[in-house]
Amino acid sequence: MGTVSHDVTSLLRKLADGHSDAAAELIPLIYSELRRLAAGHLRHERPDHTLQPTALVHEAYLRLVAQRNVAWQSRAHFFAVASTLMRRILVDYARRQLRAKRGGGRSNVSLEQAVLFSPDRPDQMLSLDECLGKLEKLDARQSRIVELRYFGGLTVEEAAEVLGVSPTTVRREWTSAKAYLYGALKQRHGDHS
Amino acid sequence: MEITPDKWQQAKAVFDAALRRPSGERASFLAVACSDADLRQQVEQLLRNHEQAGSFLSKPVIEVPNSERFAAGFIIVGRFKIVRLLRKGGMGEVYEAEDLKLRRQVALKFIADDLSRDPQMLERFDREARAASALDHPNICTIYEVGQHQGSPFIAMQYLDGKTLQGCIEGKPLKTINILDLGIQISDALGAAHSIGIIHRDIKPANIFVTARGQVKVLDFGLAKHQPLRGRVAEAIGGSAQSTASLPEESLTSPGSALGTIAYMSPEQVRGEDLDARTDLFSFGAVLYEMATGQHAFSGRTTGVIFDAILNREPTSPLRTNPQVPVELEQIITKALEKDREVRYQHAADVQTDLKRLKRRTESGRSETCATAADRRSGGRAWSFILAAIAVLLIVVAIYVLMRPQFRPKVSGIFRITNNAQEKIQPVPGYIVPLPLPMVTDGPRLYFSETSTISKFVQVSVSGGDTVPIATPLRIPVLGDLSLKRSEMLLLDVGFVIEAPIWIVPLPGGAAHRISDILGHDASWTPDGLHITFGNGFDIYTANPDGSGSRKLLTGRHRVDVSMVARRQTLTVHSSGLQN
Repeated sequence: MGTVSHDVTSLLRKLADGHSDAAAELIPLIYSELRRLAAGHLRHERPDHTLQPTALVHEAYLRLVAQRNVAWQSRAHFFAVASTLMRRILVDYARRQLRAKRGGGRSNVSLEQAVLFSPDRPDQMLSLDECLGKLEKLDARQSRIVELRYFGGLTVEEAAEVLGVSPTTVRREWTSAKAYLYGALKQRHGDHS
Repeated sequence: MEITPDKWQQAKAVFDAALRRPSGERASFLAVACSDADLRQQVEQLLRNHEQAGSFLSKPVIEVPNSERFAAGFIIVGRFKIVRLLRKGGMGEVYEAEDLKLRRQVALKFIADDLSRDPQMLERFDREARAASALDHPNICTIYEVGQHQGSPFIAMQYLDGKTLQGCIEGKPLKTINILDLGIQISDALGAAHSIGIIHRDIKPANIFVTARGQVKVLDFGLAKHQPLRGRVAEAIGGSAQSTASLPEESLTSPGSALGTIAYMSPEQVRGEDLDARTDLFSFGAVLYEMATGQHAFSGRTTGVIFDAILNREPTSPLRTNPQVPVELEQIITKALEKDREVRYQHAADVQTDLKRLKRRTESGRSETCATAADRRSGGRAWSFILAAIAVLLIVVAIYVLMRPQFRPKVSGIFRITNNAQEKIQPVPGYIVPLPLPMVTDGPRLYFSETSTISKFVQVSVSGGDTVPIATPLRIPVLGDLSLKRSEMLLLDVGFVIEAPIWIVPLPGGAAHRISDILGHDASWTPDGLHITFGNGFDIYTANPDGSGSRKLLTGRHRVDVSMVARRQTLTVHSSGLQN
């Protein structure tokens, strides 16, 4: 853990200094840590108790950013990298969960629930992922902003820092991206019922 | 909603534009802006989604990825359920929590670990928090409860919705009326605390909260760290880098925030002397100064430099930084910032009285700005009011006339002109609301500013392509106006001052030259193309293009009015014969 943290810190510093190739080294480190944690959680879960991605991700982040004095930019870059991985892990997990349930509970999504999108619902997580994939084809930067903001928990300012654009741009793109995704999710739900 | 990337860019652009309009005007805007029914339908759908989306995705999968002590859902002393980390600073962490017993939202403050290990510190924290909890005042954040969780002391206090004064200022001066309103409330809070013997010791913008309704809540009464500085200051003033090692612990872990904190210390605090209520009044003066100018009263890159400024230097006159500061406010600030506490304001009530008096006069329109003071000296006070009133009226009419749509343009198509991932914005210091991007065209080319890390003045063909920088010696070029013959451009070099040097740049390229020594925050050509007009402070001036023959046309009421007039309404004002 100690050495991983150390590596992560120095890689983050490189990333913040503009060495974008550091991301390639950083991804496996963060990914393995996130997966290790997820696996640990799953082993200890009681069968009747669903894993709360929120709690899992929370813990993963806390462990990986345990070291102090990470400069603000490094922090933003860390979460930028982790946000993509987080999306992958959550979607994988949702897929496995659905497979385990095999159809149960998929048809009873009410419109209200679709509106109040919940990351703890595997079907909704998968829908979001697919819609985000569509958005990516329309505007890659917008889908990246959603990843950073939603899966990475970055603030508008942090996302702006990572993407090298102004906070105003991030805010604007985020607004229309949300409107798009909301519509796309609603439409998907309509297709199901 | 299957849509192509091109169509999506279009829909997005119209959606963004529609959102910027009041909801009542959106339908008519869409009718004009949408070239085809499909596009319109898509944008309407987006707008509907936007309305309905509510809190959709607003809460990230993961929140507050900072290394906070408690995760959401954690329950403290069987009573307070952590909701989220609100902020984290040198003093400790503040969480939003739910009081399960009284079913209300609270803010929980934990002091930093290293501080909570010091028994003396703990004892003091406890004693003072209890004393502060006795304070019941509308402008002081109420303390509900003081407790300990596994040896870490915490305070449960009123949960507030709004932002700190630091967040309100953000490097820009506040309006005079807001400064007075907030100042009166802050001084009221200080007066109430001082009257029962509680000194704050750490008055600074980050400790002053402004609720969404504009009510001040002073935070952290009696919680300030006070470490004896005696004997250490001399080293600090010597300026050696090592000297910070003996300064408060904050400066070790985060030099930036430490500098932010010590900038509001009183001279007696810096010297490590015994403190009384007057230390708060000095710090309050520094806060007023910052509200009036957007800048620290005492600044510097090292602790030593800041301490030297607090002890030995007078801050730059607020009026020089912000000409809109009333003379009386400057006097109040100066008196609060007296280095000798015997000649400073003695009681919070005294500052408050002065602030209230100034507020009354400001509200009745009698406050002196620099400009009106000058007018009065020349004996034209009453006249200046009448003229100002007429000017304001004319400005309003002019704005209406010129902003009124003359015809409804039909958007026949949207195409992308540039595609270089550069922001088409320009920083405009001195404005609270950013102005839309000024952009002018001489027909074949568009001229505007592009900002990545630095701001550049560029041109691009109207048919699209790469932007070409136009070299200027300006630090931050801001577009003023294009001349009648479209052969010269007025540019302002805003740098970091409010009133900027004005330059003329020949088009499509050539050597820029500065217009003598005139300064303004906006500039335009007169309609006949023979003169330039420019706004400076509340005044509008006209001058020859070489800067000679400069004279004042009229005095406006706000900088923005002046700017709009200088930029666009020159014609109406100039030709109406209203020349002072």
